[in-house]
Amino acid sequence: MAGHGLRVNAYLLRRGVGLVVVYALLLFVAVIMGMPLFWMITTSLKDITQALRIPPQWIPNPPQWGNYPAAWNAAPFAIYFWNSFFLAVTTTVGDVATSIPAAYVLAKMNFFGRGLLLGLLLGTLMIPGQMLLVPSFVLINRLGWYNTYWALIIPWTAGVFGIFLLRQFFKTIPDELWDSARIDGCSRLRYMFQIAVPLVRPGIATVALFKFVGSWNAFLWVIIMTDKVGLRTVPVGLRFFMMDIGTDYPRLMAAATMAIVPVLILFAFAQRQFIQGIARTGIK
Amino acid sequence: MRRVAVFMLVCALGVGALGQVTISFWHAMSRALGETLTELVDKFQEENPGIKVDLVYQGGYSALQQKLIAAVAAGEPPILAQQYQNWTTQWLDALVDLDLFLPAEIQADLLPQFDELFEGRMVTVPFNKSILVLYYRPDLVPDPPRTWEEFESIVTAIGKDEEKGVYGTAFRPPNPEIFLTLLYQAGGSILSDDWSEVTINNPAGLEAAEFAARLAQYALLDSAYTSDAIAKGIAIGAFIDTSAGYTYNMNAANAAGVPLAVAPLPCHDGNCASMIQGTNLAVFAPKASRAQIEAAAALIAFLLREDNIVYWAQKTGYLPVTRSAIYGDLWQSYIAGKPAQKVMTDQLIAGGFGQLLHPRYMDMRSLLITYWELLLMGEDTPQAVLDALAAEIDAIK
Repeated sequence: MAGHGLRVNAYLLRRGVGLVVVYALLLFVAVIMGMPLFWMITTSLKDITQALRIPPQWIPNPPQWGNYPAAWNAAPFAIYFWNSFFLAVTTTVGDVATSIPAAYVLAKMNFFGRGLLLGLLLGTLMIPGQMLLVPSFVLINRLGWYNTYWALIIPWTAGVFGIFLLRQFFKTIPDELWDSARIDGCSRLRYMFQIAVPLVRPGIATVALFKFVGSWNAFLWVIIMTDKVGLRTVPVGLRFFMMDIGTDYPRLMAAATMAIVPVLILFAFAQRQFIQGIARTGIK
Repeated sequence: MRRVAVFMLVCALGVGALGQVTISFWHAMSRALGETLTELVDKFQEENPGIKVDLVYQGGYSALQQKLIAAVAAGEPPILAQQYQNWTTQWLDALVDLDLFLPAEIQADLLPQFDELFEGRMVTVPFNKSILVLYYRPDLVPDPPRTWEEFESIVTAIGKDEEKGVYGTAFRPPNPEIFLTLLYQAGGSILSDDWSEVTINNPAGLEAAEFAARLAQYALLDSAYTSDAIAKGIAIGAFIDTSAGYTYNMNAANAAGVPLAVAPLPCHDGNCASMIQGTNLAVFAPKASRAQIEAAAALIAFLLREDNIVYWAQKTGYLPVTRSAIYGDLWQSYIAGKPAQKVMTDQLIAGGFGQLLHPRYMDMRSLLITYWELLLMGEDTPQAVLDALAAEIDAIK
């Protein structure tokens, strides 16, 4: 009996030590990952000398709270935030709405040239975005969309990344499920929306989050396709702090801290689905 | 001056008779620079009620360049834009010949350093211009060097101690203009006068490259602005940097609690050449009506007017680009009590030179950046670096 107790204790000790090691490792990685975020937030409260000091001064002393109103007033950030939010939401909804049926078709329906079509779609990922800027600008102009929300929304309401990612999710659903549904008289469309889509929710959350963040950070496309302050986004405002002869780091970081708040809120809400999505697809 | 005033009045009346003319003006000036430009443009619109200027910030020079490339390709460029000289060849055919629209008096008033013609055409005018000067720490370098030899001996004496953060000098690898300045001071050039031969690897080029390579052994080599290093408390004895960076360098030195002063560039055998940097203004033809071109020319003439250009220079740290402004009372009285600005002004007048106006200069500059970095890093001998650079320039010239 005593021997059994000792073995249990030894097991618990080993398990405890193992957990401590795992948590220490996770904490270490978390600290490393969180360091840039911490630096950004603390730098937003420093003056320029503290911001550039080597070794870094981690805690601002005294905190320069005035950096936030100064950053906010340096550019029309209220307009920029609204535009970023509006564009991120509309393009995310559009992208998810187009990616779901396209991905489903490519994953679950057999038709001539499916592999070729998928290959062509994936091939477009290989073309650097900057190469497409000039033809895109010409096209947008000919469509009469220059300086309109259309130019900022429509081209981004479909994307190969979302299609490919969701295709991989749809492929994990066994075909037997469709066979059963069909026997019960379910149409293809109803099966997709009522059965398949709920099963790939983590994938949809992942696509949505990536799209939202991508749209939120859009800079060059917005600059190229618009001239009006009323159509510009937060990243354009961040550029105000970067000049050809120097960068105002504290105010840039203050503006950047304000800029990531919506993304952090979204991540907090979609965290569980997002992590499932990452785990299932192996995206890094 | 009277003729310029008459020209602007005629422009104003001309466009006024046809109703209001709107011109777009793309630029990359943010913060204080953008605010000063907006102030001047507002003043111009007050003086010219028939002209409306849509001043559009394009998110920095890189974004501005990409947007101009796309806009010219689409046949939808702005009427007026700020641009580096080395962008000009990409859209030379789309630019207006400004000598046809600017009064001769204004053209003649530009400093000879800015007498820049592309294929015989005046398609841009200087706007925000700066010059390379020497910044030095008076506590480490009591007497600023006047010659290459003095510069080298000072840099060598201070040496390089990475642990203590002490460097004799500093170079920015993305800034080949420093090498071009040394090259011109040594009597060298990128190409021969008729552009038929690459001359960058001749003995003068080698002398400049060897000098830079020797200094680089004691230099802080960093792509970031040198002001960042100064603010971090890194001690740099003396370094070549643009006059436009004056405010940043001085703020950084003040923040670090160290003195910093400005001196003329060290010369070589009496040659004190210094490369001019900054951007120009260009008017784009494809979508512009005659009234818009005239309105853009009127705005350029307004910006080059003595009172305005001096105000611009005082508020931004750039240098005046016209004779009337730089030698005029307004500027001269302004710099009288400002030794650094006087040094910069004298440097521009005495040694300022512009970029090579070759159609492939932009590609050549990309090569210069690559090989300037190789030279500074000591990747190969100066002769080998120059020979490789010359071969690549020869292939594209």
